[in-house]
Amino acid sequence: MSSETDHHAGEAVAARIERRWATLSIVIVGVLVGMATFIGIHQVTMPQGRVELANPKTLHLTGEFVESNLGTAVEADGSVVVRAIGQQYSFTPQCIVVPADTPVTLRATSADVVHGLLIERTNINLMLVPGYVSELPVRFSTPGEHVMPCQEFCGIGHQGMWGRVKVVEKSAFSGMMASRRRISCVD
Amino acid sequence: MINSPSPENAPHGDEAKIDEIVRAGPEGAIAVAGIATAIVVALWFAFYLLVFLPRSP
Repeated sequence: MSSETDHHAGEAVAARIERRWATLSIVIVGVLVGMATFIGIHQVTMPQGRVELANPKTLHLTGEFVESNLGTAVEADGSVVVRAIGQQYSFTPQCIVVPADTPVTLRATSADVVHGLLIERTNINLMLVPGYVSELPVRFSTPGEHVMPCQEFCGIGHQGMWGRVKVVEKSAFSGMMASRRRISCVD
Repeated sequence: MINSPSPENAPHGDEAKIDEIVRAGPEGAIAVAGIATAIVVALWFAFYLLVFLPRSP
């Protein structure tokens, strides 16, 4: 009889430890998800707030992603907007110029298949889905150069799909913008 | 004898000993799982605080 009681006591201990471990696991997952949610909402990193459409069939003919409108522009309200397209197997423009320490809106879409846009040494990481505009508010703290590879396998030439981002001083950027409406470092 | 005796045939003393060990709780398992979990969570926080946040806009 005493052996049976001991047996039940052992089971009770195991069940208690399992319950505590399960509770701890749930708390850890809750903390991690909570932190990711907080940074996502607080710094507006993801997800995108609204869905915008762009017809890939007419992308090159009409709308904001026509070739003459691609690159970096200063809008009427003074904000800096970068527009870019991903297609097999390049970005247009291939090299983007942005001012340092300035809020920049990055708007991009795909002309064919799903591409990814990732700027190294930053958290900038977007999917470019045909038919949709991907928008992300970004800020580059210091001047420098970053590479911008396609991070989503998009076909046999995927490994050669690289762009560049050149971050320049604010004053140098104003000088570049004075002479033209849209700029990129390919020009 | 290749097979160990089934629990039914185990001497009464052994069973009592096993019950006593089980009653004491799985301290070793908690230590191993706790250390492993602490390492994973610490690495997550290290990447989050030292890599992800400094790269934020």
